[in-house]
Amino acid sequence: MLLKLADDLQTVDIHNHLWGNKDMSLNVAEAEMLLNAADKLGIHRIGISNPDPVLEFVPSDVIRQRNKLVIEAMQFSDRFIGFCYLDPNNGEESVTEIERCVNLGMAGIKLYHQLKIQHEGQHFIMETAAKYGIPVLMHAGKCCDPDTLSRQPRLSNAADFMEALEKYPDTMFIQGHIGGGGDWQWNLRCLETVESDNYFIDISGSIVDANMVRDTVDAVGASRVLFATDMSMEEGVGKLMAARLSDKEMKMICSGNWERIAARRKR
Amino acid sequence: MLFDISCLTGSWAFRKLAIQTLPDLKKHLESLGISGAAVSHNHAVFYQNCHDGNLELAEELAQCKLQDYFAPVAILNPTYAVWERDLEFCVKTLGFKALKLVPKYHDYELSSNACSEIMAAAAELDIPVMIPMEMVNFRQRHHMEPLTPLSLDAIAEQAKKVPQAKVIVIGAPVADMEYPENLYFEISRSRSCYSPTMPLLKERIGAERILFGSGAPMREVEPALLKFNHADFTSEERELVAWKNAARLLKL
Repeated sequence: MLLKLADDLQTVDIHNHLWGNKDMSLNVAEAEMLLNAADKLGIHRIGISNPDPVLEFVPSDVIRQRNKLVIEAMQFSDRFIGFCYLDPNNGEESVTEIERCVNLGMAGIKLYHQLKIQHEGQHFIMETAAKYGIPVLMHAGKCCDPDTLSRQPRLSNAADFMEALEKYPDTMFIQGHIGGGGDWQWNLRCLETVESDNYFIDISGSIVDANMVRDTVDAVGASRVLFATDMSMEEGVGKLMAARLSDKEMKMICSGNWERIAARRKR
Repeated sequence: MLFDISCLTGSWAFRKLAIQTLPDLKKHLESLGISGAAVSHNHAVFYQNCHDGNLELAEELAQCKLQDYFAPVAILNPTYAVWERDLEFCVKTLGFKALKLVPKYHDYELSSNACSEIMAAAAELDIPVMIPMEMVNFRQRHHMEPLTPLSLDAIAEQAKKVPQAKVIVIGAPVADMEYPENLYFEISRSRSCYSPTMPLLKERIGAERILFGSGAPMREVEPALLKFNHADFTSEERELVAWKNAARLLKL
């Protein structure tokens, strides 16, 4: 019976979230529910962040509160990998927040759609990420419906990431959720020529279209694909299983690629 | 035994599908332990005279001798000419087991009298009515596809208007709402592991009205299998959801 990923894959879900209590403190029940679900599906470690999905601008004090929850989660369980949420509109204040979070053990940066990934206003974040050798995971997609387009006008797509790779050549990027909604084939066509070792894409999101994961691997290579769920956990595990990947590809996507990213950390 | 209530065949106008024929679909489903499926033809979504798609499905089933594996599902447009005759022909002559409605593709309102009439006609013929919330996720829509999905509320309201019809909702997330007694639910967008919604669904409608389905071959089957395998069902409930409910509704 199909139940979970094999334990020897040591699977890391690099894109997930905890939302916490109303006062933005850790909701222990929520954290335990996420860990229990991960156990059921064979997921060993979970990358978490706490972004604001609504606000156009998220002030620095709110950012710090949101990241505090992530730190509490990392203290609650060493299975949680922290991603530091930032709004680039806070300018140089982001540098201080990255340093604080990295020193507390976070492993990456999480951006939402406040600015496009290649925007000049991202330079403080991109340069600091490069300095520490940590990746920038960004909410992304090529949405085609008017509602999402009006709510997320600065949503980054694969073409934006290709530009960002040129603009910030020392920064590692993770394009979020190929299955997060939107025209994933459009994204993959843009990525056919990607050659950079700084580019990665995660498979998360609720969309489970046939062959999406296999096509992603074919477009960018297994060494650039990361397992993730973004809360759609059966979907993430199921579509990975459906891709009929080799053992070597599975190992890379489930944990090996993340281990390579983590090994590039400089400080 | 496992029966998939929500399969499709044929090409899709806006995305190339790797599996487009019934023999290939059967092989794929069998490799995943699925022993039967309800299937509709994608061409009936796109043809102006959608009944031609139903005839293609019947022809392919007969040619491939796959009537024992697949239960055919008719797609009809209640605003098109002689749908009454087509529906009766599908059921009484071709042996179709259910009706599927796609109002956003066929340009009529779910709440319209025409829709109520075809649902009542299906009830009269003693077949269930399947209503997919969407065929393709609206965020990735081709510009000729619907702007928005149907809402579960709207489907439930329409089911209430035609209480004699048995309505199977396909591909909808579980909602904390009142479910009319004639509403059945396919599980492909429920959740069993994280923030599970299957217990709520079971509490509201009972395992007797929950059905296994995947959306293959447009969607992968494995996510639906995980949702089913991890669901907190008793062994009796598991059998109901796996195939007994489908067998009862489709008279297999």
